[in-house]
Amino acid sequence: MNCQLCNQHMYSYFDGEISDQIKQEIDRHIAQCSSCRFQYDLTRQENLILLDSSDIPALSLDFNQRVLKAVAEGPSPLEDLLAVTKPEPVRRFRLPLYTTAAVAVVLLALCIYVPGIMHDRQERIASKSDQTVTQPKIIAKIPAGNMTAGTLGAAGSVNELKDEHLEIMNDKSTSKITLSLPATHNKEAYGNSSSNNDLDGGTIQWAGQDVGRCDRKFASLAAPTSPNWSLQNIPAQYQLLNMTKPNEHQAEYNYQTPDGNENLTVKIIAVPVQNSEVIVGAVGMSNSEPPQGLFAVSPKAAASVSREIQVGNEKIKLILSGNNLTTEELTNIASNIEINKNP
Amino acid sequence: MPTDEMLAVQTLNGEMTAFEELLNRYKKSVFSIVYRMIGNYHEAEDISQEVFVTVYHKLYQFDNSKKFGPWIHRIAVNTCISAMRKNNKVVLINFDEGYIPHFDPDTKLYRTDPQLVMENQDLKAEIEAALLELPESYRTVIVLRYQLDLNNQEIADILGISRENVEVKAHRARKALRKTILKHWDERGQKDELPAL
Repeated sequence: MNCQLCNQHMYSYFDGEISDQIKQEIDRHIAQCSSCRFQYDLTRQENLILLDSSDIPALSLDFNQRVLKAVAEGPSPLEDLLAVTKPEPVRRFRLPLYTTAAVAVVLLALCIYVPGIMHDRQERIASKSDQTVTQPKIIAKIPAGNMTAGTLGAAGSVNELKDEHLEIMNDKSTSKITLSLPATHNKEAYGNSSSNNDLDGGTIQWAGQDVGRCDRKFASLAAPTSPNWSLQNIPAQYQLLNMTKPNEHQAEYNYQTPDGNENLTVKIIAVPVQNSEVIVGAVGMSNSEPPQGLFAVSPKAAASVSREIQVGNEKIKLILSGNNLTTEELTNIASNIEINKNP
Repeated sequence: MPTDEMLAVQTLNGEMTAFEELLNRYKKSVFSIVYRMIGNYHEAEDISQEVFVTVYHKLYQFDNSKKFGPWIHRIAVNTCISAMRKNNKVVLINFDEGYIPHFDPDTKLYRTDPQLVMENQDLKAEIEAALLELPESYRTVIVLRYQLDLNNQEIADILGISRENVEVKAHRARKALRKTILKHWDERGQKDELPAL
């Protein structure tokens, strides 16, 4: 046993945490080493003093009362428990600031550059409709007050279509259009008629066309019709470019001159004769005057001419439009067109 | 005689007599810890009161399957440390931190004749003063070890550290205490002798 080991084990010696053998070695060492004996005595006295609690003063006599009073002033342990077990507010997940900023920038860019994302619902639906039917939209301007539009078929930006109710978007609705459809199809359309405003959500389009949820309802008005027609007497300079058929009631023929300068589009919409009143009234056939005082129907496209032809039990509406063609030229073409339905 | 744990349950059920019994059983040990840690009677008494109020309000957190003693003593230690930190009276050392104070076995401090230098009370005052200079973790271990005469495992339960960590820390704390005492002696130019006890 040397001095280093002796000092190393000194505290354990008094705490009784060393073996008897080491303890005896320490005893022998301190008997010979005065320095380690000093450490031994000091440690022993420290232990006696540290273990001595006789110097700790007694608590005040009123200590219990003070504690009990302080405890009584506060809530009970159970109340504390209830207070703790109250549901904590949900911590919102917070993204880092730079992430939030990046998301905001992306959303802003989308709003600016993606068409339709910031437009109102009418334009969104109309845009959707234009994807399948490129017919010019008809905007109905409706004066305030109730009105009956007679035999109208109104499709368009429709909010809700119930059994006996056709409601056109009408957040600020002050007017009502009653649509007298065939006996089983009477509908009412409520539209916004704020003065000088186009009918919000009231873009009236051809029945049978895609106008969101409404198209299927109106499509049911039309009887099954053969989708195949043939057009004749198209001016020779126009060559058929393509033909699309959005559905069984519609077709669109696109013609183009060989030099590509002029385009001619002929759209065909066929409905059974028994339903044609509804359909035709909704848009106003070519050159027909809109019912005065009720609403003004105006084609949105500048050069567009329509013509109605009855083929068999179907009433077929031809809509012609084209670039670099005047209304007179389109009217001339339309008047010469003959349409035949293929078997 | 109801156990401490039973009294805790009864206190939770609103029996203030049970809480008063707990108060009588532990007020001395709690005050001993606080007094040794703080070193001021009035402050120690106020903190002891705060300890029991905390115990009362946090009683629902007590795990009834464990011993009540270590739990209340731990609250006492933590309350003391919080109070010392408020008063900037504490040297911050984490209980789990491997702080190793440099204990220089200065040969000058190795006394050769530990006889009749100081009175016993002087040494006691010296130790108490040195104790208050120790970092909080060392002071806490020494107080729990010697003032409450707890073993290493009991101290470990109170401090929430391992028993081995307590052993190491207790040893280092004693060394630090010794160094502080001898340093004071050396500063005062006292002879390197100890009084007989």
